[in-house]
Amino acid sequence: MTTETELLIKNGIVYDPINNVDGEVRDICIRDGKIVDSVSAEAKVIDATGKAVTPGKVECHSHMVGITPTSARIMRPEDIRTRVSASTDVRRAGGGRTVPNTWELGYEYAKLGFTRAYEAAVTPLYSKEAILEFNQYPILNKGIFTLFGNNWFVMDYLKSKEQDKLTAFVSFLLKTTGGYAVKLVNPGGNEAYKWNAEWNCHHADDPVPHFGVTPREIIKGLCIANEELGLPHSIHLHTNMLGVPGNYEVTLDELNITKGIAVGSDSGRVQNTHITHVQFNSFGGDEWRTFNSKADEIAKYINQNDHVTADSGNVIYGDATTMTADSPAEWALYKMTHNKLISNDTEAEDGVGIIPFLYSKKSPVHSVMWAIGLELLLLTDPWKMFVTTDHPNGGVFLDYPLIYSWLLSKKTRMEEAESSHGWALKRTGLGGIDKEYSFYELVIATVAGPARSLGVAKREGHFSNGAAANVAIWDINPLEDDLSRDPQVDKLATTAYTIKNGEIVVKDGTVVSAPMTPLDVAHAHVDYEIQRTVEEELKTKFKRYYTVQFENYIVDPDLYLAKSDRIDVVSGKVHFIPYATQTEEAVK
Amino acid sequence: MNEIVLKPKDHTRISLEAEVITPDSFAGKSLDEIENMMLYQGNRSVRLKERFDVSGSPCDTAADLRIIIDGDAPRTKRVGEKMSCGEIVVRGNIDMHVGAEMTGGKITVEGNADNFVGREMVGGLIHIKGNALDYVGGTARGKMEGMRGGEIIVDGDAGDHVGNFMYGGVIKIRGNVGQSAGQHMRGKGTIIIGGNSWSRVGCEAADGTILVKGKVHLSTASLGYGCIGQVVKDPELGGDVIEGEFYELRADMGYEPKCGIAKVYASVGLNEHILPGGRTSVPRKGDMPVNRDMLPYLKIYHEEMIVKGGKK
Repeated sequence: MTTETELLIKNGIVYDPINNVDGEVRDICIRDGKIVDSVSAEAKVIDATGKAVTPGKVECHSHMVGITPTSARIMRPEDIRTRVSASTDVRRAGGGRTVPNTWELGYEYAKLGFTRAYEAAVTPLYSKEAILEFNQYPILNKGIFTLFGNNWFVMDYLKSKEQDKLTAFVSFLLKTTGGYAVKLVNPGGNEAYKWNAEWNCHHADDPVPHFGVTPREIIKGLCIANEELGLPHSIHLHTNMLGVPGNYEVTLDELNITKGIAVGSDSGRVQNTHITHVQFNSFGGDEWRTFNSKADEIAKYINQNDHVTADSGNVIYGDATTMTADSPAEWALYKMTHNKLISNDTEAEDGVGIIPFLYSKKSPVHSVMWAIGLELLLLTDPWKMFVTTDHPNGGVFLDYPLIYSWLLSKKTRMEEAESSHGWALKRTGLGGIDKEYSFYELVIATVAGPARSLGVAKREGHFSNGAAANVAIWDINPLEDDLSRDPQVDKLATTAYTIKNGEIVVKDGTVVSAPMTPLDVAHAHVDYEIQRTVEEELKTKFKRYYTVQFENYIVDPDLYLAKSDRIDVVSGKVHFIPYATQTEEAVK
Repeated sequence: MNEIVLKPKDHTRISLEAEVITPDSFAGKSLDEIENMMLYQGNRSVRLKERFDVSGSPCDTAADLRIIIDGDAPRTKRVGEKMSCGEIVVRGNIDMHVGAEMTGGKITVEGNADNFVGREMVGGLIHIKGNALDYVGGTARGKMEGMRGGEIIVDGDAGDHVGNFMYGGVIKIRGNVGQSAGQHMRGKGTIIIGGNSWSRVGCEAADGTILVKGKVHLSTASLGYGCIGQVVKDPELGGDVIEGEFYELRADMGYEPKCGIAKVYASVGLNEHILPGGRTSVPRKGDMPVNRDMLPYLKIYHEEMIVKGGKK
């Protein structure tokens, strides 16, 4: 990026929910990668007359890099046959649908108007692999959610009730393994599964074998640690009993655990818990035969309580690859499908399971799951419920425009529902929902909501002065076109322009530039004394528990994290230190 | 029937991705257009006329078109991929994926074929007059759906994994086959083997029928051959009545969801060793199925590579 770049987006229909701008025709001025008040006459002009202009979208939960997608790529060589893209002067060749290769993900997300994405689950032991991949991941800003929910050290500190040491450990592990936020996957349950394939934590008070701590204690302890540190994002929670009929009660119970814990960060977020792919955790019934939707209960809870945000985890019919750290859920899926399975555990940290999966319109259960995802999005405040497919678990991110079309248009949604199995309407409340998203609400659920929830809203996700110039321009005129009659899926699928830090990266669906962008790493500061104590304890335990040396476990900041933005958190205050200034500091 | 003749010009070691050589894509094009069709060769693209001399009479309807590859094309892959009608004749050897995913029409190969003959095919007929290598009617790596319909006839021998993940259709091999014939068969497919079969016939097969006129070799006791049902006389399979007496065996008893539904027929005369208490068979000379050296064109390659490597 050259230093003196000026860009003027003229006469666009601007949508900026954080600043309450709903479809106003105005100009956007960009200088040096930032939004500014005005630009000089020499600025390059993009004519956006009759086009919607939104901030770049933010992906809050996707499995893109790291050991899990890489294993899936190895396991699914047939995936690359479904689509391939040729290389050009600016981009590398790529391909794949459910598990595309690293840079293909970057290009395709940019074409969909995304400018920031987060990898949802990385075990600390393998975070080097994820960081190396992310360093090759073009265009989008990115970050890693580090897995904590089944970590032995976490459970040890909870057992001995040493909250201060737990807080120091969270800070230490995020800093040394390049993480951005705390992720909990089936807290305690994966650890139980690792001792016996039929064990799991079935509810919030089901103790973890050999440790004696319960999922309730793990969620509460990590949430308190997260707020004591004041990390930019809240805990990112995947609750227990995913994919089991009747699990909505567990979900509601676990959401209630963190109620009342004060938010300790000034990053702009209001929640202390983000519950992810909640569609898989909103199942009613006692077994598959009585399976039904409890999306209304979950939506009601989230609407009434401000300490929670969520993402939907929609199901889209077609090929998918389920991949999660929740090994018991994958084991249950394997017993049903007998498809090819990878099930693994990462030493003292977490598990992983991968199975290819086909969502079919003819299947009653899949039809209900499809409807639950939409119900959740339609019944919940878009500031609290964001659009995801938990790529590639519920569907592929390339199909996001389909979800947008179902939200924007009841007609399109009902056409799909009627071609599905009858349960899609009989066992859910989808048929009775008349709500249709406006374009403004869609922008909230894909841009503003996730940006605020992830704690990046101070520097992007809106068009305030000084914000990063991440812009998506759509060949859609929501003021004149009736999106509820024709949601224009093809135009939602590719932007007219995607602008990243003031640079045009996508034009008319073609990647025209692919800059490398930095990775976010959270550095939360804790008291030096306690940090030393925790480090010494870890070194002793490492010799007993791990196959690697402590020194090799830590991610070398010079080798791996040389090009990352640092988010320093000192007593709840977030300081953003871009890597450009870091190098200047180093030179001085 | 209109004919278009493609005469291969030279043999290169880098394979040609020739999925455009089908009656469907040639139909309605002039000779000039056909000559200028693009193919990939490695990471370069070439025109069809750079690799083949094109002649003949083009035609508008694919069903009336016969494409003749007049000579050896041992590094031309994916000939007849996804073809739906018409005919292809190869007067020599051909490389991998011949007739892959085809839905109709006929392919005749007068020489030998490499791996993946009729991969994931749905309909039509493939006739290999020489030998075929591995994965006849199978599936490429990773995908779990092989041949669904149609017919493959191999006059010579075939390699390993015949009918891998087969869901339907008929495969007839007149000679011997390698190991794991009918592996992972999932549907009502039929494999008829005229010669001997090497070990692990029907392993992890959930459904379908495999008939072996020669000897069934066993290498492990894990398969369900101990479970002999009955002796069947002149069974009717794949539209033909096969003369002789056959043991009806259950294939893999270890495949959990559909345990022992697939059937293996083994001729009574040659397979005493599989009866309870029978002796483990020791392979004799002549029992051995396809050997890679018997495919002459592969030999040429190996020699060529050695020569070229030596020059470096």
